[in-house]
Amino acid sequence: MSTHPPIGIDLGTTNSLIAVFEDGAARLLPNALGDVLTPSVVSLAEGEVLVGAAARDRLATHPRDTAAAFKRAMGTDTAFKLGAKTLRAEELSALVLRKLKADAEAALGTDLRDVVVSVPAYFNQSQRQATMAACAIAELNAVRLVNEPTAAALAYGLQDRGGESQFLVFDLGGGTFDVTVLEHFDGVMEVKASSGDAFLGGEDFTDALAKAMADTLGQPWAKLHRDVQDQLRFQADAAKRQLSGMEAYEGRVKVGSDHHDISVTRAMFSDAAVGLVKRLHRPIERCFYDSGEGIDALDRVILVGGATRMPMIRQMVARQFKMLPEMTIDPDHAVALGAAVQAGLVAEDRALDDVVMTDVSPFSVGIETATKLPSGQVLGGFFQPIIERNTPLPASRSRSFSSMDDNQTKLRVDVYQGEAPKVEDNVHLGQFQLDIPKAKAGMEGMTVRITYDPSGLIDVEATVQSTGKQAGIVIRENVSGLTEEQIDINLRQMATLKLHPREDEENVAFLARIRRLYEMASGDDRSMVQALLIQFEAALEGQDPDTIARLRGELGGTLDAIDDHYVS
Amino acid sequence: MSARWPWAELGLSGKAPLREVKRAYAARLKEIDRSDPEAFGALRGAFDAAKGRAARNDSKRPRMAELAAEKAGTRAVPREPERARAPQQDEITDEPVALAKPEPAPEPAPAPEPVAPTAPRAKRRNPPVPPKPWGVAGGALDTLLDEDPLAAEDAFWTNLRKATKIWPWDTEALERLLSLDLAQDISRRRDVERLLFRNLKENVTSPETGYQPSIALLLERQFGWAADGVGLRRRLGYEPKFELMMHGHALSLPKTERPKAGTVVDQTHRWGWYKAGVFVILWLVSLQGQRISSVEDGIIQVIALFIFVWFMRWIIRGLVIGAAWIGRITRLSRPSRALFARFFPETEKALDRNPRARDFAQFVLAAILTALIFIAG
Repeated sequence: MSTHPPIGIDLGTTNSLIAVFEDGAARLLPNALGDVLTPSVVSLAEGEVLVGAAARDRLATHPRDTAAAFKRAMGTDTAFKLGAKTLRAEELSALVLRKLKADAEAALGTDLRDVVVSVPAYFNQSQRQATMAACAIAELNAVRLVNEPTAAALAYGLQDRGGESQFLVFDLGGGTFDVTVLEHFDGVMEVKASSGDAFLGGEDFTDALAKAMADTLGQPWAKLHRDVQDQLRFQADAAKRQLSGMEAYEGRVKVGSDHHDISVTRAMFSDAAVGLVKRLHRPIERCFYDSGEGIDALDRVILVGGATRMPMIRQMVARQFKMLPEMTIDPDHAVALGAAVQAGLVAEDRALDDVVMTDVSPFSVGIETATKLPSGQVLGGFFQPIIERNTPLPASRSRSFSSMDDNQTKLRVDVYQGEAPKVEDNVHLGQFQLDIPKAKAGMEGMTVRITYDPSGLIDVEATVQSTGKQAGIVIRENVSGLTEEQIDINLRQMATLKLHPREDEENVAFLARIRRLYEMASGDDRSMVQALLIQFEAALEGQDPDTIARLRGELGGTLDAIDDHYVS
Repeated sequence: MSARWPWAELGLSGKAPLREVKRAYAARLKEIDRSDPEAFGALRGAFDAAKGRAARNDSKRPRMAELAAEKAGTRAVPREPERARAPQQDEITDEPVALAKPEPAPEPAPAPEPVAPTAPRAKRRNPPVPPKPWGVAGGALDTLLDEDPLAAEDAFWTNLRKATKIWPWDTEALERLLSLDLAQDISRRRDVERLLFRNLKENVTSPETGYQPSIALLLERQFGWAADGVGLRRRLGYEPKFELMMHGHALSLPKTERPKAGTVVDQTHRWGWYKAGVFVILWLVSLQGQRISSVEDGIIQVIALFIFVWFMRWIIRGLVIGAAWIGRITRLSRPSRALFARFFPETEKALDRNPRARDFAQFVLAAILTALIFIAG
């Protein structure tokens, strides 16, 4: 075994995880607080960067210095303001990756270099490139991006290697929804079709519930102050979790100086989320159509992603597929474990000799074409797919196109990714031109061949039929889309952002938690929390690790009680 | 795909049952270079072909779910009466579902509700049903499906035809019909989609000018044509004028409903400051030789200038369209464009790709023309 163990990372919207593949099995690595889940939240505090639980608590106390759910902005220009700094989604993700890296290095005692990072199957090229950029900025070498449902399937597949089944992975994460149909036989894990919605996840359910809560307060959501919105969202998140086990939830929010009690029931939540649940149907429908299988051909349905804990989702799945869904692996863990398995596969780990995985292209890739109407008018901007979505990879397909005008001398090849019939609704990947000899319209033509590799390499090559002249372009998702210089600039910028030291993290997280409770509490409770805060800060001043640890243990129980009172 | 004897590629001697085909494929897959698209494609093609033949010959593969169901003496999960489905044409391997027969629906099996034991059945939401515009009200159709599936099916299609008989369609009625539980069945949905596509093609005479946004909105919400044209093309099979219809659909759809295409970084550039700058220069130019006696005069002049530039932009827009038209007739546009592309390659690319850049170019042209008129005047 090399000194660099295979590492898989699940960079999630809500939580991120890191796992290692060793001794023939994947294992999750704990962070400094001993948890395997690190909340994907970044907060700036006095020039230092906090990532994880401490940052999540600061979401309530310092919303202006804290960013969460930035995975949804991957591949866009959205900027997040943290105090005086402005950071992009990939930079924030890079901070989370750096944290995971530091934790994993501490847990393993070795350096990390090569990693496999999971992305939603329905992430497009620019979102994938942004993920690669985040890895580059975090000084990690992402050897492969693996689709989240595929990773989860690998984790399940490894549990019963000899098995044969046809199954569906229903992956509803914090911000994205993926559905994938797979077949598993003789050690082959074959993805048949993937579909999804890159903008639908658990956070949307939280928002829907928060808005429903605002309605019970009798105030429209849009008119509420941002602080109140944040509070409601926090309460909605807690309510969402509790409603998975119970029928009702009681909480309270502070509007101005008044405290309002809010109560939500499961039925209320279901009503608020009807529209979202409906949106889940479309990708499922599409996935089955593409896989060529009926729902009745399925043997198992596997739930992945924290949001699938919601009873309404499990009901919907049971109803739709007419069988009980499985979640034998913790839905939060499956993807990271599978990513580590994929890392093992890439590293050609001996223990995985008899395991082969084939994936499909989640999107169609094709070129832009134009068409001439009988009136002579030319309409352009049509998308002509060459490799259709859900084709097993690697794949190579070609198609011929002809010139449209007399004496045309150039053919332009614009490569797009997507499903929309008009190219402007798809993602532009690249462009090149080809010279053709002058001739009558339609007499000259080219053959465009697209080769799509599972590592994310798209090779487009066009050949003029009469002259044999060639031109082409290579598009990689496997590069960050950033130049060396840009990465350098980013690295230098990142160097100014120091992660908070690991050793001290438990204390910082604890302090952040007390502050959040202080913010939430009212009346006598508030003065009690303040007393706790003073006591703990005094202990921190004393700098005696034993005393501090003991105090943490003692105060922990009290904090739990307060948390229970206010959050649930 | 492979025209050859597919079993040779898999290392089999001849026709084999599905199980063996899969085993052979798995073994071969582990041998070949899986990063080579040619080798993989050949193996994949052979596998698909052999699988297809085997599936046709094989007796039905017993599935785990069915085995389990046999053991338990019932299906694992009770069928929801409201989701009872007619036999699906696509699922050849499936036996006809007993519920499709026009007999009283069977009692739901007494097996426990799978996930949430307390989940109240009453939670099922009927869409709010306004007074019925046809024989059977929307929500009633779902209820009817439980009692008499054939009649419900009949009523569904009758109502659908009624709603699409007169152009433009009755989108409200259609929307209501398509959000019924009855309409969620995948194969039925596909039939509806095909019917609507054909009907639309007959009614829309020139798709290049688009059609009613309400209809486009309905189609997009229900079937996602603009979001998934590739899927639609696959579902419909070959349809003449398909591209044109898609063009018309994209054209008719309100901008906000268009699918998100990831990001094109350039497009966020609105040229706002450039426009403001050009406008200020224009204003300064127009000040020359004119006396401004009061603040109101200045304001009036700014407003007049603004209106004038606006007016010029529309004229320019017309001129550009006219020029393009003349260019097409006289075939002059190509050399001039080639010339432009040679000297200003970046500008040409921007104008070609970015509608906002095009907009800005028109603005500049309008501004120059205005300035010329001022100076000449």
